[in-house]
Amino acid sequence: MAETGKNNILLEVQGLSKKFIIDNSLISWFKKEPPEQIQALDKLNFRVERGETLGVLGESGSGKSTLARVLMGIYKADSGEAKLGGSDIFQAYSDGQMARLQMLRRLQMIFQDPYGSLDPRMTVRQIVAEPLKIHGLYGSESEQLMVKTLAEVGLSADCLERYPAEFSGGQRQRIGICRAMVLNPELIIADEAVSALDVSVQAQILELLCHLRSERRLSMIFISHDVAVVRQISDRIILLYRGNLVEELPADCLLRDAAHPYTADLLASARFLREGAEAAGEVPQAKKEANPDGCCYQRVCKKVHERCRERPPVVELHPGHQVWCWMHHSK
Amino acid sequence: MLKIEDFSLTLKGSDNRALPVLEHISIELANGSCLGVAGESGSGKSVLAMSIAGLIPHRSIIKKTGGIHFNGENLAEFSESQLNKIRGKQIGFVFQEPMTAMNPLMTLFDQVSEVIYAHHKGIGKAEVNAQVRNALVAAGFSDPEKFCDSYPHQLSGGMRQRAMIAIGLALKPDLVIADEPTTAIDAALQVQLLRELRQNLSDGRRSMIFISHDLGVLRAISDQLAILYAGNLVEIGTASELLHKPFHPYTRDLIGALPRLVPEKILPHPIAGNLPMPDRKPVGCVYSDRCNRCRPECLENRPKLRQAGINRLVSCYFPVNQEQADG
Repeated sequence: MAETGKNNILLEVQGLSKKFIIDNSLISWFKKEPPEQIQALDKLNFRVERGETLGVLGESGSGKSTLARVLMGIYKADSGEAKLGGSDIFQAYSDGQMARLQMLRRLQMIFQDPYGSLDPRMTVRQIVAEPLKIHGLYGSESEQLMVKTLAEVGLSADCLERYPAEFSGGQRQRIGICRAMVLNPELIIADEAVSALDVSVQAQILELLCHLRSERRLSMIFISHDVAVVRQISDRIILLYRGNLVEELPADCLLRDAAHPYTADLLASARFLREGAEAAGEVPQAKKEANPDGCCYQRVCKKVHERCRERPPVVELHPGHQVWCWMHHSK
Repeated sequence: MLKIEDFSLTLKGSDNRALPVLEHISIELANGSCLGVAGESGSGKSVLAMSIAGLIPHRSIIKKTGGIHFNGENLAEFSESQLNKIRGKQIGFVFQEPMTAMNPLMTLFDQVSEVIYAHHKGIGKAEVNAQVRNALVAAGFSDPEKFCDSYPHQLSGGMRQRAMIAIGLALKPDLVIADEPTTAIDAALQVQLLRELRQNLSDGRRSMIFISHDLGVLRAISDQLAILYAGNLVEIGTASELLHKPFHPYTRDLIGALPRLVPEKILPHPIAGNLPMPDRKPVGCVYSDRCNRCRPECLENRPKLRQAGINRLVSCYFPVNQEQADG
């Protein structure tokens, strides 16, 4: 790993796994069948540096939302470790309410749906004040802090007395960002934060997130299925396929140097949808089955090989560019 | 095949306010081609789609003018029973959200066969089975029998979307109206569905109106592309040329707001301001309050659609990308 400073690492995740049991019904219990399981996250290793935006790119079922929820303590991880600035996140979540709250103060989330993630019966003041109250930080200076944070996300102070229904989708997303920012967290997790917005509004929110990153030196995990959005907002990108890391690379290299067959296929689809590029051949589509042993992409991979039945090794192609694929092993 | 002529629609808002949601829309659609309709939420693109199929409830309409001519008949003047005869059979509709458009208490088979029974009274069971099967296969179900008895909640998002397409295309309608049929679907599956929808047009007799906010998807599927803004048609032309060289400033800004899929880091440019409410549109050009080329003329009269180049209409006094062409 590059030596650019251990101190610079904000979040370090190692061996993170999460399994869901799907069919837990009585029928399978009577039949004595083992319940069907989905490996939502399979031994993920990654890190987020301070001031960096890490893009998490994956399609539905890749485990990207599970990743966000596990880090936020909404789901409990099966195994693995996550350290935020040296302190163990999962330990904090299991150490009782006080420790949990202390951790969540440093970690905040922006949600996908600007309509569903704000309580329609609360005013903006109540929505933005809620995290401060939960964390026992609400006091005489809070008013000023709230107005300042609102201004930072591009809303004026007279919004405070209004209800979410009075705002447009983009403005609601700004309120959601304001709610996450008001605690001044170290890391923001944005799960499809711009996917539900119109392009012109999407561009506004992306601009805002970039502005916050440079002003506050904000670190962010930006989760999305949209290749172009992730490419433009991230510094580094990790790609997930059915719970597995398949590639990690600097965002600037994504379109030029992507090495994993899955990344190549994803880019081909994205190019077709963005530019009408006819280059896209037959794009493979995964079936809803349990992951095979070995490489997670072997069922649809065009370059599948005998060796792919074994779990692929991680190959470092360049500093900061890693791929989990046998194809690059010998090189 | 379809000719929309100077169509305007005013709907009833809350407090009985009059909301002019569509204003003077004129579009022609030829056989065998696909018309893309682009616009942001609130631009009126779904209302336009629903108006063509007569799906806007009469009680919410304040005023409707102009005509929608389909195979020589004016749909805008059709009664409900007349519409019922052509909806599903001659005009198929693929709705936006399969989870709300499908009946949760009906199996996939029942939902697809419903439209067949509605138009063929007394049809035999074997015939229906065959038609449902064909419709599902055409929509990309590889083994339809396996899913015929499934309820919508048992299908994945992609399969529900395919089911919607199967219902819309079951009777091989002359015109398919697809309202955001591929939003919220994985890229790989989107590519497949777009190909299948495009395939449906290949015999040259059928046509499609494809509505989306996603310019990339529209470029991939449509021949002609219409850009709607605040209920007005601001530009229409050949899809690839229009996106390559937009004339209307709004089209240009919309393209600029799209995140670019390029090796370089180029943040998209947001469009300042918001879409005006239907009852508070500027008197002049609808885009005048957000446009950087706005001059006094733009504030006084609303520009009409006019010819600008080959196969291109634009409603702007000072279009972009034109100076060079004019000399």
